[in-house]
Amino acid sequence: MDENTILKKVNSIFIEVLDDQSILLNEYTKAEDVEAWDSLNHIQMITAIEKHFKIRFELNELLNFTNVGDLCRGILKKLN
Amino acid sequence: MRLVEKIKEKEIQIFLAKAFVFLAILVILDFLIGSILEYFYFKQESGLLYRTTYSLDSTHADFLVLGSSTANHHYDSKIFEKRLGMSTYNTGREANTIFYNYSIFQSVLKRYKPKIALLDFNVEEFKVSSDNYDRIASLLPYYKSHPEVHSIIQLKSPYEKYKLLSKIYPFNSLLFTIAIGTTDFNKSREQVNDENGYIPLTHVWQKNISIEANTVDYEVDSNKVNILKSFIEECKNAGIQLYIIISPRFIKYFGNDLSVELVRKIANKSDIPFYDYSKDTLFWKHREYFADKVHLNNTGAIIFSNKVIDTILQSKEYRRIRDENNLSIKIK
Amino acid sequence: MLFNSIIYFLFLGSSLLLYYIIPTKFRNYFLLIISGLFYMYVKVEYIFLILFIISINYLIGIKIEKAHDKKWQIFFLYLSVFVNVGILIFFKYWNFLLKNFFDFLGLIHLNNTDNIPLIAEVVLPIGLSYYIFQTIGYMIDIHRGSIKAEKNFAQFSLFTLFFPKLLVGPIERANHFLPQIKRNIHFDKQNITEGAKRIAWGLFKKLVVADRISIYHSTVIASSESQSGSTLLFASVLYTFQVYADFSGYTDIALGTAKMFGFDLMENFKRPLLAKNVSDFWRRWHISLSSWVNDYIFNPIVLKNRDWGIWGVFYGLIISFVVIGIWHGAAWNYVLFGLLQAFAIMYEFITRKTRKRISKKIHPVIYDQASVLLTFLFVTFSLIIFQSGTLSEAINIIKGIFLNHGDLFYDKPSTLLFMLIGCGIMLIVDIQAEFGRFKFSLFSNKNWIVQQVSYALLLIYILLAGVFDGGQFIYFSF
Repeated sequence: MDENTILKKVNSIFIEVLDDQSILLNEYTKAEDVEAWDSLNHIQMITAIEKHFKIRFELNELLNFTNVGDLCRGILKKLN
Repeated sequence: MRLVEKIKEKEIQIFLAKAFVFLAILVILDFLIGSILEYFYFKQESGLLYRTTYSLDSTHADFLVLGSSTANHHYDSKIFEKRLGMSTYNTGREANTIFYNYSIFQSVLKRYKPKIALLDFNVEEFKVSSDNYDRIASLLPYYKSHPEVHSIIQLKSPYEKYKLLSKIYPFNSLLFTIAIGTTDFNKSREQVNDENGYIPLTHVWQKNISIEANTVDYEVDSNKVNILKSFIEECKNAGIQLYIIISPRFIKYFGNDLSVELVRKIANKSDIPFYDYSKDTLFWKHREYFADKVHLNNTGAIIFSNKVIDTILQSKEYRRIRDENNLSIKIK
Repeated sequence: MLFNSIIYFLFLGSSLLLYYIIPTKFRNYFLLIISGLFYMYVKVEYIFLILFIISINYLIGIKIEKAHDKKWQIFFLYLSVFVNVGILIFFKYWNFLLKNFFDFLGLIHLNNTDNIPLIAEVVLPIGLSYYIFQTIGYMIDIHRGSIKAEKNFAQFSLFTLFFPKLLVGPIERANHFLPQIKRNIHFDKQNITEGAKRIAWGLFKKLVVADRISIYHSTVIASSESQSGSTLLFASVLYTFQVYADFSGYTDIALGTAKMFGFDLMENFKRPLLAKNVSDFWRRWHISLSSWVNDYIFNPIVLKNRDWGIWGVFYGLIISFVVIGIWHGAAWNYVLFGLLQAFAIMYEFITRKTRKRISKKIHPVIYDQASVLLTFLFVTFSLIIFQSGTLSEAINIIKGIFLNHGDLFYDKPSTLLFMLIGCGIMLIVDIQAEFGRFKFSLFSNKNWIVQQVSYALLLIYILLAGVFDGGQFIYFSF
């Protein structure tokens, strides 16, 4: 898997959890850029991502993600 | 870059020039607005500010009442005038203490000599309190024109001289009072009170008498004690008969108050008639005489004024004054 | 040294002059010295405490970074948190904890003596809560690997001791402030003018709005049993403005001062009274504290317990806001205040979809204004609890608002005018900053003369309407 595929998959997970078809993420997107992305949605998305990719993040990793790009790279690392 | 080279730089020069312009604008606005405020302050024809100015500049009453809110609300000038046959003015002002009273006295002395001065003294009057110093602010508008009050004003803070460079500063927080005072609404206020200085309270106190213990030990403000002593001394030198009176309170005190005991000692030592009504049981029995725990309402003030006059009339000091002066009624 | 005192401005003026005269490379040391003197002016002994805290954390920070073993990393992190929190608890919460512990023992009849080892007169050093939290954040950041430990002791000391933020914050972050300390500061007239303007606004908010309302509010609250419902409500609403003006005004002076020295401190307030819901409010109020709690308490808790779903979020909210509550002081009303915020946000989470539906049916302007009003009322209600010494006091005031009859109390029209005009100006400035409604601006006008006259008038109004000493009073006896 490469970063792009991961990004596309993450995007669709976001759309599903946030119930918003218009979401289009890029690697620099941050929480403040997406309406309705709050703490509750955040953990719902993380758990959905972990479930889909069958991975489990460490707390420290999660806390160090600053944008979608960090998230995707984190997923990539876990898969390899 | 060295400092001198920096200053030669055009940017810094422009910056300093603009800063100077700002300062100039500030000074001009302060002067203009301050002058307007000063003009309208002294144009007041009634109300609190007018009464202060009247006390300092205009009254020629032979009988002068001095003190704080208790003085202001307890001594009905009209009754004093009628029964003593002397023109009377009540200079009491709320929340203002011996600093204010002494200043009024200084200004009065410069103009004439009253025959009698009555100082209303409060329980805990000598207690150290920074608020008392802050309220010297009532005198700030008179700084320029009344050099005799400078020593009191300087007690307020070491920076007062510099703050007074601003023309607006003396009128801080008075903007709307002055503005409202110039409107017609204000001019229609009862002017009788302003002629007398006495302000009656109308409320009737609903609670039962409270029982309190006097704080046995508190720090005594030596400034206040010394000012009182000077006050007594100057009255003597000017031939003014001073009476010191403590008003009634709707409080039963245990023990004695430090300030009351101290002033009693001072008064006795200087042979000044001193009457303490704070434990007067007559008043303790009549809640309807009080507007609150420490202030009499109009009903109470009338009774108290008459009581005080009775005492004065019987005093040896009064008989001497009466004989010396062959009193006739001099009401403004 | 109070920010609104003459001596502070003498200190500021002379410090600035010297600061820009001395060579650039000495400027940080100069700041360090005057910050130390500033703190010692408040109380001489404080300098020892803060130097101790700085030194210990400096050493542990380096140790965390150098530790090869994860075990040691965590050990040192816990050690630093233990020391820092321990110091905070000692000064701030010891008496409260002891008293409640013994009350509890008394309840279950285990307490048979009256000798509670209270530490008499433990005075909380001013600013302690702010720089302890800042330091804990620094430690956690090192542990997370998001920053490097600061090896330069002078720079690390300045990070904590920097006097503009020493007494009332903001709680800075290492990645925001440390890089600024490492620059060479040059004289820039923009810094001086922007900083001075900010200080002017801070003085306005503090002297004209906050201190003025305080006189009225404290008089009403002191006699609350005798006040009418409308008066109590009016005073409570004004109190919300008072707290905002007081805290944000002081913060403005802090940020303006820092700016004059060439530093940009974090924004602490973002027009909180215009918030549309409680979650939004906490993103605009005391931002340095709420974002600190968010980054170091809320997020870790929620992410660690993400398997609990919404219950994890609720758990995180309660812990976070109780911390925010008791950060303000050791008393139960602060705990209650925190819980109220948590419950309000939980309510907002649960009703999110419903509220969105409703908003689509109502005209947006009406919906937005209603939201702002409701949020404001909730904040006012929370603050009644916040400022009451005891719970029963708070209940009495709230009861009084609904039950006490009578007219609005004010001693003279002048009092009302001063308060309302002050709040009005503050509100207009905030509304303009938030919505940019008015095209013409006085204070940001392009013409420098217009700006100068406007700021001169601002200072003049402060002279006219500010509360400069304790001489102002309201007489209320019945």
